[in-house]
Amino acid sequence: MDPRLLKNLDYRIIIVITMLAALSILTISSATHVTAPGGSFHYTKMQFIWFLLGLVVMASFIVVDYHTIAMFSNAIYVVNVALLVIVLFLGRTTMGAQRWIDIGPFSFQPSEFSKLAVIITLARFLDKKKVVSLKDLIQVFVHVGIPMLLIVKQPDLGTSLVLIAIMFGMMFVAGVSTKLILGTVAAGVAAFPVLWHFLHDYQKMRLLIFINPNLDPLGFGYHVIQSKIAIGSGRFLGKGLFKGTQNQLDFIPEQQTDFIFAVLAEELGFVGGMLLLSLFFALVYLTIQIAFKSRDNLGTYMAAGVATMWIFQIMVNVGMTMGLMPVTGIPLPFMSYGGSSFLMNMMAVGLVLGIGMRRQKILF
Amino acid sequence: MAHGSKTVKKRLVFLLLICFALNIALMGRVFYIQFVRGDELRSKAKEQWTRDSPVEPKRGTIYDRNMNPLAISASVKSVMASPPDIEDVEKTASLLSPALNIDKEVLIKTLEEAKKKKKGSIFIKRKITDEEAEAVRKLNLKGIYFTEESKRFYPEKNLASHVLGFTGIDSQGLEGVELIYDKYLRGIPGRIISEKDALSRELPFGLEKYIPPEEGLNLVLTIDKVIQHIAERELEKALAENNAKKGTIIVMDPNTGEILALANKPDYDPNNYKNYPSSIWRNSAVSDVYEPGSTFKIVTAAAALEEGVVSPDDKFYDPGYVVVSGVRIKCWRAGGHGSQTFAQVVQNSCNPGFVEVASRLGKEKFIKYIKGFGFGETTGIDLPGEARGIFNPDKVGPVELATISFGQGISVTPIQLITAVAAVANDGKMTAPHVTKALVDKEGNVVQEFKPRVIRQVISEDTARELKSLLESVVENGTGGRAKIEGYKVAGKTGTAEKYADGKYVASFVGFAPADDPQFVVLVIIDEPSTGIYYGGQIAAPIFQKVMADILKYKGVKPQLSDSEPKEAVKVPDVRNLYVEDARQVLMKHKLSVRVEGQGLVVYEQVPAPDSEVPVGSTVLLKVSDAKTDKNPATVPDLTGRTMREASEILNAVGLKIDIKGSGFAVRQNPPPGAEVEIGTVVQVFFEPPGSTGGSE
Repeated sequence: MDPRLLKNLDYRIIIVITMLAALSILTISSATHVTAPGGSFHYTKMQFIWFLLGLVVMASFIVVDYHTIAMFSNAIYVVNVALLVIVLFLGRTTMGAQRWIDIGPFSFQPSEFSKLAVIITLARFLDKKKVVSLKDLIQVFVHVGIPMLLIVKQPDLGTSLVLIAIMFGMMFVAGVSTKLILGTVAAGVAAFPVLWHFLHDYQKMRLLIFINPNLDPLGFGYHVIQSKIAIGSGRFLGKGLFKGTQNQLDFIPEQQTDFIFAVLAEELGFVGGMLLLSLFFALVYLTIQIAFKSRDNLGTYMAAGVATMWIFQIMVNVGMTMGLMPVTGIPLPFMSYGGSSFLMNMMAVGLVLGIGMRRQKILF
Repeated sequence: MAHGSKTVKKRLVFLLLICFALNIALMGRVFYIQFVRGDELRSKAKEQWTRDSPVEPKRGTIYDRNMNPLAISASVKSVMASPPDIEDVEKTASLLSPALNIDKEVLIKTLEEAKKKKKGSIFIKRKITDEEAEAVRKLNLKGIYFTEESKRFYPEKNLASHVLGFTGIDSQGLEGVELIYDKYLRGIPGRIISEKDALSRELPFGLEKYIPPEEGLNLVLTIDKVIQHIAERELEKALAENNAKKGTIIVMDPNTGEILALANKPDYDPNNYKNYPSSIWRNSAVSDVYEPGSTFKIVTAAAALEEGVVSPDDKFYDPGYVVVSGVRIKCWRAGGHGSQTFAQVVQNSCNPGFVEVASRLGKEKFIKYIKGFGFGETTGIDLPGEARGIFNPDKVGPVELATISFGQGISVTPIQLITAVAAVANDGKMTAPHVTKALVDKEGNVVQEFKPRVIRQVISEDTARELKSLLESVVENGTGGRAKIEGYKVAGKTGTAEKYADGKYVASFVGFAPADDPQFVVLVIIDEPSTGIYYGGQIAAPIFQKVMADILKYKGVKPQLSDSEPKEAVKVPDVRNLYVEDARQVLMKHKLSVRVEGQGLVVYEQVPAPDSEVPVGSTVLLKVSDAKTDKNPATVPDLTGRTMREASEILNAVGLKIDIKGSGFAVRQNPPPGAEVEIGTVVQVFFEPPGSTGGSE
């Protein structure tokens, strides 16, 4: 890599993700009660390690030219599908879903990485072939559909929805006619009653609870009600870090992962909530800016895919904690505890920074 | 840039806009949840993580005006259970049930239900006895503990029960001042707050906080325990003597509006209020209405004097009835009072006289004063359940105007009437009646003082003074004679109202003393006396006399008449052999008081003897017997208003014979009263049936 490229590196993105990581580590340590007697720093330490490791991973994605990465598109696709198949047979099951592959003391979640794999391979696909006909469209569906269905099988509805969002986002940016896209969406909606049958009972329940959280206040609805109580009791400045009663007394469910936003909003209040949402917006804004300035369509599509992924995950996760979205186990990028998710997001940042850095041909 | 599709760029911008819009939506939602619903969610949060056990505060003491306690709180134990800590419900219940004397099966059911609902603590039995507490303590059961609660005691038992009221099981005021001043007496409950987590476990490191309760304020009443006792004693005696249904006595300080005593009988013991029917809890003095009868003439007279439509020396003529809009209204005294001054109209309580006065006033002005004296609306006394009385100015026609003038066709509460009369006593200034002096904290500092409050000047000072002396003459020379207290100037008015039910009456007397500087107003109401006598002057006036005399003595008010006014001397007339009522009339004309001893109709001896010189106002003792007199010539007695039987007995006693004409009550006689005739002379007496309108005296 030519060191002169570094002058085009967008440091602002690095600042934003560093701030996000700092917020994440603070919030996770509160959510896991480091101040309580007998509290452990395990999660805090681990998230910090993921951040350091993430910086290395990010750097390597900056160094390697995204065109080079795209060249391995087929291999990436095959490895991704293979991992998803392996997880179905050999994966570890926790809480009713088979999502993890254990490697020594660590375990990782192939579905997290398959998001990035789909972004890279679909960008390559769209760059090579203009989607104009229904036949082309079906090719795209098959491309995304294989990993998606494997993920649905785990079951992990949330992540498969992220893949669908990425697919539509990238097709939209790639200039596929809106008629074609809207037609597909209409078909999907029409097929919903059929799809409903394929949903698991708990998934159906979550959708019903989304419509009416008081349907089962101590069961499925409990999560959303408790989350709202926590956020609502935060008010302007919050109850203070480590002082959120709803968090400290474990009323917030899954507080270091899916509902981490509730912990943040309870303890840091409106100010903390606004800070986090502003950082996210800055991140998406800067990513779309890079997509805009990219030297070629490949870079544009990749960056747009990453931006779509983030927008969707942020919207669904934060919306879920406030009863705007149904409960689906989608993590909040950079904030939720979890190595796979964090590393994948850092790779995505590296990919985007690399695209931005190479926006101009270097003249000798 | 190598690529340049405009579509791609447009769509990127569109994607950014979507992101921006969604972001704003999320921010808006955060704002909505944290600020619009913030308070609600915050309190929900608090509810979830704290377990709150209330600690009952000590209820304030109620004192009389001299700081004698009338209601006090003592702490007693209650048994509670912490269901999660009880391992063996069956065993716990079987041990507890005999110790506390409660049903075992019920207890098991309660405990199991509480366990299922994950309740933190429940009451097993409240306010238990020392023996029960000792028995439970000995059992030493896990999950069973005591809590201190307070129980109300009324050391004076029935005394002033209608003022005090009582409290319920949660020490909440239910009646009387206990209810009205509940929020001050109650205090602020303390709390024990402990944190619990989402699984309802008390946190081992959760903080436990004790917020001590704040004691209730003490209440000082205007009631004087001694005066209250006097009133209740006399009322009880009067009810027994007259075999009456119920009665009320109120004593008020007209200068301040302070109620010194308020008694209704029958009453109840607030320590065991549940043993009495709830109708007995009712405070008749403020909640019940009655027709005031002639006591209301005070209002009519006040209005007429104030408006100048009458003066004490105006001449009236009472033929025994008056016709208003074709309705014949009779005087209580058959045959009427004849020619009299307005002062005598008041003294004689002459109905046609007052009808005349009311018609001179006219409807508008009369209503103005009725309202001015506070009738038709509550007095605002600090006792619950006050009634407004029944007075509808829109329904006042000429007949109503006439009857209201002597207190019929209007219903008032006892507290309204005494407040109105107190206004006359207090130079026309009406003061708000109240039963409380102050709220005091436990160190004795006055937190709030209930100061006397003048509502309005109803009549001028001059009118009030004029009326006071008229009312004094009612006691001195008129129907209120039996209210007289030796050595004191007493003013007052009798009242007898016939109830709509036949033959049932309300006898009353309202008066004040000393008449020229009134310090006490006393109202006595006896409802449905049933021994045959029912006139206010006969029943209520003597009770008033005893109550007022005792109060004056207790408060050390010095007799005025003996030393303050030099007395003119009078010669005692000879009333021997006269019919006793005639003798009374003669002596009263000579400004002498009368005490009658013995039974019978004719005076056979008098002390002092005839022709002796005595100071004005002295009492002449008349000894009567039922023996026939042999005085010749005999003096013809005044028989007006007598029944045939009475008339014939009286005439027989003085040695005369009767010739009965007509039936009913005597209206005329021949020879006329006072004539000297030979023994054995026949007296013609004319009788007529009684009037259609209920009479007053």
